[in-house]
Amino acid sequence: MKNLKMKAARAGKDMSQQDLATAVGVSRQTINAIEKGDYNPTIKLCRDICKCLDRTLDELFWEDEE
Amino acid sequence: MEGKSIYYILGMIAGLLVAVLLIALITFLTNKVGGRVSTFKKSKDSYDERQLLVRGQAFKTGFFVLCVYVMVAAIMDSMSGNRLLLSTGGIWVGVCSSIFVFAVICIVKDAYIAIQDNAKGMIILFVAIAVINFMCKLGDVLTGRLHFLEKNVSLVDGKMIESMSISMDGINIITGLLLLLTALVLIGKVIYDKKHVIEEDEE
Repeated sequence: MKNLKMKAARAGKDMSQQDLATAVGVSRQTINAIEKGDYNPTIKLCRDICKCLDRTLDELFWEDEE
Repeated sequence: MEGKSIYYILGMIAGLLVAVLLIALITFLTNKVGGRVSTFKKSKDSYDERQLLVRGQAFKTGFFVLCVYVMVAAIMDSMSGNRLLLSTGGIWVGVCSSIFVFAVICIVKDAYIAIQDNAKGMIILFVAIAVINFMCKLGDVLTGRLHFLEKNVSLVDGKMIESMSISMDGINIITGLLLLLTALVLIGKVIYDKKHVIEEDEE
């Protein structure tokens, strides 16, 4: 499932995928895979991304209840 | 090493040292022309968690490819006395095949190149080492002294069976082919990414 919240948060900070990848210490392809829903990151990476985008874990990675 | 003089052993050690120095020199020159390749300086953070996962799966697949290859080689030898795949060169083909499978899986899933490296550096390094391997055998090829395949005679159930085997002469050529093919896969991936990967800024 695509992670549009993370994509929107990144766009809000005017960061490219490469910028976010460099900031959290992963490859651009990993950020792309997370946003496309192809990869589930570990809690550590989720926290690093949240710190970088000034968001909480719930805001970026909690699935909305249907 | 029975029957080998101390000079033979020293020569082998010197050859290995020259190979290491040559790779260090090529790495240095590659970094000079804009490629980024850290041949001897990989740290534990060279690959991120997703890449490590993919590399683990690729290692497993490569290992199973090698297992199947050895099984096929053993069956060929026991059923027909054909030692083509069990010869020195034959085993090296199996090892290179499993390494190639590992490399292709990692390249396709963006887990081959470390975070601090770039594709340009890897391609230059692989092509350079492939060329060196081919050049090692160029003299033999030009003088007709290269014996890639050689006849082998083995005893199976009391009968003498003749078969072909891949000689040690083939090792440099097989290694060069492996590196060249891996470089081609990398080049193909770079071209594919340029055409198909949609950057956020280009949408």
